[in-house]
Amino acid sequence: MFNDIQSLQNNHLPYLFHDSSIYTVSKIQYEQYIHLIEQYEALFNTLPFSTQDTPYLYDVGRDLYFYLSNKPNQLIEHPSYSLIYLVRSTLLLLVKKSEAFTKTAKNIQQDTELSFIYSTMLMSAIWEFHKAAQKIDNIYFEIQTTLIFKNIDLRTLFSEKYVEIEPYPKKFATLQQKLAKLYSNLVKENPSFFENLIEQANVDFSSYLKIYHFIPKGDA
Amino acid sequence: MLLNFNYDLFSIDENIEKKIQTLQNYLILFEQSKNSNTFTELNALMQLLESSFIVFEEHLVIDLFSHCKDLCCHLNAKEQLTRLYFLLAMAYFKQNEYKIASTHFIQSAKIATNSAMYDHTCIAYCYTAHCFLQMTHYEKALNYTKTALWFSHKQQTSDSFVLNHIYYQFCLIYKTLKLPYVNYYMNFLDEFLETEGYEQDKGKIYSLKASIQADEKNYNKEYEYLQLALACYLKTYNLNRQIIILNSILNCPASLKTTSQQNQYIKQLKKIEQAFKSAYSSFSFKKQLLQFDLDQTKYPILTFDLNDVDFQKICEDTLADRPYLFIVTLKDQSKLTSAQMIHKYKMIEEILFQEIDNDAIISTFLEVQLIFLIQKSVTKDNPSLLPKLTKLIENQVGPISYGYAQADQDTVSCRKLYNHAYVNFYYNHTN
Repeated sequence: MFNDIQSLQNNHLPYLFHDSSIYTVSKIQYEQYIHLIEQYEALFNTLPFSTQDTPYLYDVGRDLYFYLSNKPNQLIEHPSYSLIYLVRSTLLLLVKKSEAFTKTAKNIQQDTELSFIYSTMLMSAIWEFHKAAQKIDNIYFEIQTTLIFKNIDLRTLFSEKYVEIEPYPKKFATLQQKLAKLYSNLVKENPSFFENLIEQANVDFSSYLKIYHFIPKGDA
Repeated sequence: MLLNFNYDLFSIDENIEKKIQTLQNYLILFEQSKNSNTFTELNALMQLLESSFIVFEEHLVIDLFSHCKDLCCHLNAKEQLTRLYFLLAMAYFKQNEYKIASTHFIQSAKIATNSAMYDHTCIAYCYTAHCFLQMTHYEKALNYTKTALWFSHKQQTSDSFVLNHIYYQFCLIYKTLKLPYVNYYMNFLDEFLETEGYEQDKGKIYSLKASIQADEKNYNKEYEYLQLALACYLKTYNLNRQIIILNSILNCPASLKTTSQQNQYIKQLKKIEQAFKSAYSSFSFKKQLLQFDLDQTKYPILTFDLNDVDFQKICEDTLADRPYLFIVTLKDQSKLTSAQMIHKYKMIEEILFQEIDNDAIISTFLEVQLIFLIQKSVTKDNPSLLPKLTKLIENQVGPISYGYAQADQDTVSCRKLYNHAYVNFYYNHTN
């Protein structure tokens, strides 16, 4: 799904801003996530290159990890981040509504490693979903050219300093709304498609665990 | 999807001489293709790089990587780019640079995944695991192997060649960790041994089996497996592996082994070592390679500005554990043909080999120059080698002009080293 082979040269993960999750979690939890990326480097590297160009995918993956690894009563959503990161919060909502997701999330029981593995599988599912959405409306190109999402903290667009220049980042907000709407409509029109993708993530998750925790019968 | 990639880099049914010839042909093809379209050039270049491993010229991959990558990008050739990163990783892997190799294997795997070449992803993951195993990062090695197995299931890979790579890697890791799971995975490998072909991989498996038996002090069994491994490797012309296995056979304390068998293996080892030596210092190819550099040799600035005193100092320098390249201009250039020159100066090389008894010297002729590439092991053990060499040549031909260079951190290839040496030579000669 890439047009430019140059994108394949980039071996680095997209920059994830510290403290930018939709959920308010501790610094330790952010660091734990980075540690898990290193620990499960092999799994993380199976995500295709083009996932890096999918808007917010890595942020959503981390948000999902925090969601899965924390007890519901400990999760607090940042009040303004749902607005700033509209696409992310929409994707999160869509995933959380999925029956297949709820079933697995319950079984994970806030185990950090399982949460990480499952959130990585879900990233793959969301990437597939985004590819399908892109086929309907080529908003991707507009996003890439209009707004530089990489390595820019979107929160600055809503900061007081920026508001003095531009009262409301209208163009940015419109694009976000457009993409969020596209995702929502796609699920509404074809709920089984999205559900199947999450189901596939569940299958991948359980097969990974089966292999990962498999201990052969020893010869001793 | 299983690509037509050659993962063992030593194909069967051809001897070394033929391989060298093939490599020269690819080199000529590549040179000629520069005048045609980029697609032809990329194909010729890839063929050249693929073949470079056979006669220990894998530095070509490092040398030409950047150019080849540009061609891949220009043509949007993902399959070739995947393969190119794999070859680059293999080049570093063979130099025991496991950290760099692992980075390139991962890169190759990621491009493969993006291009739906899932079999290649799994194999590149196995090699990554092997790098981590060599670096004693056992957990990572196991993680990559397990992920390779998971990924092969996810992408529904049923190719026995891919699965063999994965199971072999499991065996290797568990054997290293001394965990009792080796036999479980060995059962899968036993099935693989029944398939036709894949001699290189079968050789690896038998070799592993022998090593397991050796750990358990079952030396007769070890001997049997080593013989099977040797039979496989003899079909591949992988001289390096043949020598390793033969040495293991000679050192194996099996009661089954007779004296006549031992003598036979000694003879065989000597023969293969000779072939290895001849392949390693394949002058003809070096000559071709260096001709490439003619247009790059006249550097505008002097990179190494060393006088004779500095030269002596370098020779004695204990830090000089990197390769040297040494160029000598021959005075009787106009009188002798190339063949005559080779004949005349061959003696110098023979003396060097006798004195040093080391294969780490490569010599060649480039038009009127006699060139020596001296590898680090030699310079480390013999700090006075270069003055000795100068004296030796002067005794043979009278006063000479020479240039030399020592590899630094940025020198990644023989070609760069040659350029530096030539600059040094040029200034010595003209000033």
